[in-house]
Amino acid sequence: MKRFRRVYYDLFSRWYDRIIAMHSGDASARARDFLVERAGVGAGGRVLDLCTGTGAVALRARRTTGPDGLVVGLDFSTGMIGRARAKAGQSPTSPAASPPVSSAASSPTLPAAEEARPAASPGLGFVVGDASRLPFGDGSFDVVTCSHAMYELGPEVRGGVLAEARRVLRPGGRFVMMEHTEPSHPVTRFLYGVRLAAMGSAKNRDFARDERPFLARHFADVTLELSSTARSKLVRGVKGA
Amino acid sequence: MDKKLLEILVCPVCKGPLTYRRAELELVCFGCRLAYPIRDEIPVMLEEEARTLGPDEKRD
Repeated sequence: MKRFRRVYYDLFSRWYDRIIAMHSGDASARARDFLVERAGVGAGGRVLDLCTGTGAVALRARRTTGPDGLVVGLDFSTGMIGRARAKAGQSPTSPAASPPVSSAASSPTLPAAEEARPAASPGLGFVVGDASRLPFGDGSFDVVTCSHAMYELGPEVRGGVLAEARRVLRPGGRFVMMEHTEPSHPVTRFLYGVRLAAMGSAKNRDFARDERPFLARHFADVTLELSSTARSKLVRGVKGA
Repeated sequence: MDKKLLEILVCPVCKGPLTYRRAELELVCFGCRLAYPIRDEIPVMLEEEARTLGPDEKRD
């Protein structure tokens, strides 16, 4: 099953940014700003972005942490990671040859500069790995982020991912996840329900309604906050001593 | 690969230390006897993608 899903995401990586840009545009860039601001990380900070996909959050976090920090984007799809590295100017084969995926089908207001970081981006790295079996030592990060992926993980894997996120955080470090709120429009609400059901089981709905009790099993001071548009929600927890 | 990233990487199975074999482009866990490949400069830290060490492969 996992192998199948990796193949799916490897293929999906080719169109992913275009699809996301089509239906959210710069709203998703604002949501990433919100996520990184609330993560409370500064220059020199260390961030792990789980299920990084094509690296949008990792690239945004790198803007804040700078060359002296470390941002690691992790995904189990080689295709997604390849895209992410190309966007970061780190692709060894074709640094500039990759198509400008983010601006292809979107408005000029999309922050293309963010997507096309200057070459190399020191302090930013990508790893292919399994979020439930993280290849990092204990206490390696100040912040672990996970944007729009916790629902996909399914209830049986999620607990393991949260435990691993806690392990790789330093004491006092923060786990921050972002998701869409339940849409109010009936059609998008229906599609949202399909997404939750398709990726796991009916139990996914409980998690999506309120993630706080699930996070509280692993983290202290769990809070939930809505973005200014109320379309995204951010759930945060702190690793206790 | 970023030096800071290399410093925090461990074996995803046992969380033990890894040995970076630059020539082979591998990260080796001698505890699990697994060699994780580095492909296009990306560490692939999945057990199912790792190579099992041969009986003659000793710690460097």
